[in-house]
Amino acid sequence: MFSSEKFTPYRLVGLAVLVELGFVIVPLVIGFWYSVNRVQFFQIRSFTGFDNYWRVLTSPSVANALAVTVTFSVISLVLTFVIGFGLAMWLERSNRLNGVMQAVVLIPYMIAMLVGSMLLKWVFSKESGLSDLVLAPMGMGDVSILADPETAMAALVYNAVWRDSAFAMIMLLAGLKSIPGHLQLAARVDGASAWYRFRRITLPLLQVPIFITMIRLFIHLVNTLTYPLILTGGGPGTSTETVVLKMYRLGFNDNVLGQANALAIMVFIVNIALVAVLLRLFKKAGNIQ
Amino acid sequence: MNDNPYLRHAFRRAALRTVVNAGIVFFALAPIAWGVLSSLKPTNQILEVPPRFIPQDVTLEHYERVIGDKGLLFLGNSALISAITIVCALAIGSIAAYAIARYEFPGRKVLMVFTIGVMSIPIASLLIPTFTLLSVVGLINTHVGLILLYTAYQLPIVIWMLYGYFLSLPVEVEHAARIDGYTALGTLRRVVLPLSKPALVAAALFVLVFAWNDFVVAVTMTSSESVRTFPVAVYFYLGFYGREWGPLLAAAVISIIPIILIFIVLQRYFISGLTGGGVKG
Amino acid sequence: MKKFWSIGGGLLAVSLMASSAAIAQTTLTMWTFLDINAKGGRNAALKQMISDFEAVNPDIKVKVEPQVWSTLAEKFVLGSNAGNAPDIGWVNSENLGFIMNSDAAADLKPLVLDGWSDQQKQDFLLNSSFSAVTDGDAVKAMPLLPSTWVLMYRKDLFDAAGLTPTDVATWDGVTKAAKLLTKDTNGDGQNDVWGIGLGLSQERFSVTPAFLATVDGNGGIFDDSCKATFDNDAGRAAVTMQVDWIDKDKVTPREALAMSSDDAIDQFAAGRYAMMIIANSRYEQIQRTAAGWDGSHLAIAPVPGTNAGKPGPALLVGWWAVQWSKSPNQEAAAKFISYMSGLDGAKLWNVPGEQIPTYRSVAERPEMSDPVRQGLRVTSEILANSGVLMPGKCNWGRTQADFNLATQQVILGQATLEDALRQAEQATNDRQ
Repeated sequence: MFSSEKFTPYRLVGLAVLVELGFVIVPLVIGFWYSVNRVQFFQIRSFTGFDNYWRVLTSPSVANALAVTVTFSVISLVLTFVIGFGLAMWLERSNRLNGVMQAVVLIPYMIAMLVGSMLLKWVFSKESGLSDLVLAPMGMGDVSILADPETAMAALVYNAVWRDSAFAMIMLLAGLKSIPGHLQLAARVDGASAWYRFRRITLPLLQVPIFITMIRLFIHLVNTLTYPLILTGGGPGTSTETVVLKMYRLGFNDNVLGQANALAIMVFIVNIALVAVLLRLFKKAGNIQ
Repeated sequence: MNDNPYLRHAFRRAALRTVVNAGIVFFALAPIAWGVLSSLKPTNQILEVPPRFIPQDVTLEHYERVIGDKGLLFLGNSALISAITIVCALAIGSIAAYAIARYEFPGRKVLMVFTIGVMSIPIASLLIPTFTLLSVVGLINTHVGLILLYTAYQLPIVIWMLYGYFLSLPVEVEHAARIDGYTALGTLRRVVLPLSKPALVAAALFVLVFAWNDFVVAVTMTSSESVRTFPVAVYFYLGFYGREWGPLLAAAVISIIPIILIFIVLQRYFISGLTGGGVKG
Repeated sequence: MKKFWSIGGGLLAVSLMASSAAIAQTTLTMWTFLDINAKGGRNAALKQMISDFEAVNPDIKVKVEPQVWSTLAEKFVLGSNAGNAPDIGWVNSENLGFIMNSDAAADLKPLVLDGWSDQQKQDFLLNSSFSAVTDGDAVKAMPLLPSTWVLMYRKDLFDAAGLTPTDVATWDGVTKAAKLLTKDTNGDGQNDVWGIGLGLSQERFSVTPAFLATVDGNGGIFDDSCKATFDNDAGRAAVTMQVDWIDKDKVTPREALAMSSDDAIDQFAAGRYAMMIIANSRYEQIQRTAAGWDGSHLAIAPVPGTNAGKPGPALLVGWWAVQWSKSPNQEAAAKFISYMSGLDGAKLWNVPGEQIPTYRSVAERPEMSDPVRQGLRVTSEILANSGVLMPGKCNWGRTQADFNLATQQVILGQATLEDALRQAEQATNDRQ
């Protein structure tokens, strides 16, 4: 398309590429430099080559963090996406009630993550008497949600779903709006069932938005720091200590910035690899050009 | 109850709708409602156990405190930074997305992967290097520095969203515009963007939520009050001498009101969406 | 934008030069967590101090830039590395490692201490604290606002149970008292008041009994070269004590595993605990937020000891002033630091700041015997009797979290007591 203008596309993407190079790639490169040095209290002490990478790779706590991250991000991704999609379909039709409901769903997304997670921690607290109000009548008066590894993980997932479903909903709503209304209408006139219309019209035409939503959600969930930092503190024990929380602790608590950046670079590489896999899957299915 | 099957059906649907909507409201808002109610309680009643949902005494002291602590100045900073960030991110992003969606050029695939790659770096790991970088170029502790960083962090998602949306737009109109002598940018501005309001609104919303609520980047890159954003100011209530729930929650309530209002105003465009036909390009 | 700034900067420079005809002006920038424009005694004290100082030194202006307390030290060192730190920064004890292990801070011995008279030095109560911030001959920080951890308890509950502070002079006594104080007051099968509160999270943590009992039983945590040793009987006994409170004695809620120090203090203020180890600086806040009980019943006792007859360690911590080593205004900055930590400053920090007096002559003022300063007075006495300094060069800022993790792992059965302590010790040593 428009392929006669050979340099136009480069001019068009130039500014975006420049901004990203300047404010993301350059810091990333500096970060990479840290990762091959011993950095203490923010000062580079000595060049250590890939020693930091080796330390991080062989650390049992990083292995644990990896497992935690996989559990958390996969469960959260599936739930957030399904609920977000459900909400988008449920609130798709344009009317006043749906407009209000969309705003309601968006409020947890709009409130500062920090405050949102602090409020959830309060609500989940048995000792504050809030979670007890729901749990005690169900015969679970002894359950302290955040003090038990499994329920703490569930709480963490809940936090993600509670906030990020709105993101998925908005992304997919914007996508749904791009489906020409007459297609749905025609199928309806032809007597196609709702499920058939969903599978044969909505899903195929939504492939790009679905792909983008999943990628973005996935990256966000893997990289998120606030939920585990505020809600569970990584605990109890290390049962909710995600890779990014571990990275944060290495860098800002343990003052081994080199190791923290080594971990960050590896998270980055794994993210890219996973995105590539997802990209391939979607390509097979057909719609990403 | 009427025996009319149509009415019965409609009634059931309405009942289902109400129940589901009520469930959504409950799950989305229960924790926040607790926060709002607590923000209206006097300090010595906030922590009360067993909890009391309806405040015994209602007070606005925490709201007054937030405003008194230069809250309006910090809200103003946040508003300014968010607004300019949105403009920058949408302008730069839509141009780039248009190129990726409409042109076939060597390096296009690399660019798409590059965009996702940029998106997938944990921001926390960039903080220290970015501090150094901004210091060197003299943008540390400035509005401009924060705007540029936020734009850089949000551009990838904006580009991808708009790219996805542009793909679904009918390309014939653009051809016509080009034949009429519009440049690429002209076509984008006159033809494509007016058709893309739902995606633009959604993208703007994401940028807004990020820029409006960011704490870690702002707290690292700024130090003087003239640049302080609202979330950093809010963090002061998690003070060395204790956590002050009253002003903390009041500030959170204050900070979501403008975004809800903006969403309600913009919803018009969001809801309108694409009507009528068009074939996928 | 840039043009705007350069024009603005030019105008500023011109106007500065114009005024310099009269008096050469120096503007000092100071980062602190206090906000002189906000309410509160400490803020008022600093504001007063600055205006007093500026009156005596008309050629110096002090500009305060309030910072988030938890990232202040990091940002000071980052700023120093990048060449844009403020002239003066405040640093809390837990983060002194940043200062001691970088070249961000100037040597205050020639700049400040050598200017003090012998009389002032003798009057000063915190002379021993300099050992924490001395590197070779250089003194890198001046103590401003000292604080310490104490045992806070509810006097009303103690009275009702017939307990006195002497009953909780040892950790064994605490356990016994906690059992008496733990109660289900409304008979719903759940405890409404717990004997002792703990915050065992690894984020927003604070000092816990296990940490203090280890410092006590072990005679400190570090040797001279900052090598930590607590994987021993003292450490194991201390962690076991906390584990037992939750698992065996049931005097602490299990939710303590997930609670930050702030969460636990909130619970204390909500009337759910009878005792807790808390920094004395939180006294005022707890009184103010006390819900369901009268905050005036809040009382302070020394940290319990491991053995009877010897109180536990009162760790001397708090806020310090450091001067940026590359500050262009070395002399003026030192002058103000000397003022803040001098007798004039100390009086203001004490009243209206409500801080522990740092000079003998301040401690002996009649203001200190006012009944409203009961808490301050008790704390000062505790510090005088059993104050212990944590070494500034050793990085112990997160050792408390290591103890918390060890306690959690034992309770959850994720590690044996031995393994948990070994890992905690290792974690602390990896951070040096």
